[in-house]
Amino acid sequence: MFTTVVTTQKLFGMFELDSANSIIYSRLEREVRGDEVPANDLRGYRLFEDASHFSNADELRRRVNYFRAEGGQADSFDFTCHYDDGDVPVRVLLARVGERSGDGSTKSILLHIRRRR
Amino acid sequence: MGNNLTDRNEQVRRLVDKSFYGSPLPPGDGHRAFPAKLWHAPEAVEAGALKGLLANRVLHALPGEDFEGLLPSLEPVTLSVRDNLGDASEARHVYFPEDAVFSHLVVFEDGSTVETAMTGREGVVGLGSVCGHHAPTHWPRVTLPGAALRMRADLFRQEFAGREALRRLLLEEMGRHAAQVSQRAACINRHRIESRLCAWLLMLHDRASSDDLPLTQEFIARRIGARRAGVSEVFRTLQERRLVGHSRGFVRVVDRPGLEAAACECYEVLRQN
Repeated sequence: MFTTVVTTQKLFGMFELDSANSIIYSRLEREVRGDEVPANDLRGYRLFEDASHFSNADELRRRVNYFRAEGGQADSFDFTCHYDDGDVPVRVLLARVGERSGDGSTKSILLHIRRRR
Repeated sequence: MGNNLTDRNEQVRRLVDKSFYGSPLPPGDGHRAFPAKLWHAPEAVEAGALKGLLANRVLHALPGEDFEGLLPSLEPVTLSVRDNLGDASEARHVYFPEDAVFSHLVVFEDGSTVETAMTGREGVVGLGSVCGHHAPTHWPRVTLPGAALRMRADLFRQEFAGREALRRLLLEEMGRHAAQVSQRAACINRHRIESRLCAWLLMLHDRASSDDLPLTQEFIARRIGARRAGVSEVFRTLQERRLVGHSRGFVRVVDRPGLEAAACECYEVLRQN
């Protein structure tokens, strides 16, 4: 599938994702440097296909999908994003949003990615 | 059977805690080491007594000198199914289960899973750290909560390189693990869900410290790679035949010989493995 990544900015911040991992809400923590292209609004984009440009985004998507399928309320783990200019260790927090939809189930999740020191 | 193992776990914890008494926590990720004075006076940590109480067969099979060498790096932990052990590439520890049981999962892109192997007190979890091969789709996860001893992966690699007896035991464990994976790959292709589920419950029961297993049908379905509806149907049948009991969040093994008769041939192969 052909995709264009909408930003070269490294992804740190808070994202609310729908069941297809499209971004409903984003609050980026800016660490824009050099020739990185900052993202303004990522709403509507698919996080892992359109907005992530680290090479192992598939692994993170697998983690997010596993969390969604497993049914826990929250989870956190260390992850290393493989960017072209080097590895970036991050801490990932996942939480279910306690909002009820028409059928009584929660549909979206919060994903917080922060740099690990 | 169950109570003895629980008592033994408590004794192990008390012995190890006693040895830890007064030792500071070093910086890092919570790993605790024995004080240096105990390293130089192994009799003070009652290593022989501790080894005799351990349920983990790999640790139990180590020669006394090698076990005493590992002891300062071992940390007793209690694990729950919610503990995130990371995928193989992020694994920081190697685990020696006591009555905790681990599943080795393959996680697909959509987040669904299939268990390819199970490890309890007969083995070790995290051997990928010495192989140097990390498959990001293979995750260890806790299936039955309980006790384990863990060791930092970097220390474990050093011990693996330096201890012949440990190396031999772990290579045997890797062989058993590979045999289990291949048998279960064949099983999932050939056998029906009812006989597979019976075999899986028996494997878990072999490693558990109780007849009551804290499992939901949804959880079981995700472990054995089946639909929830299919698992529910099988449980209805097994309950009617009085092989298992099922209440909210628990499965009770009621008639073990009956389960053995209903399990596929793979269970016996895996039991002897």
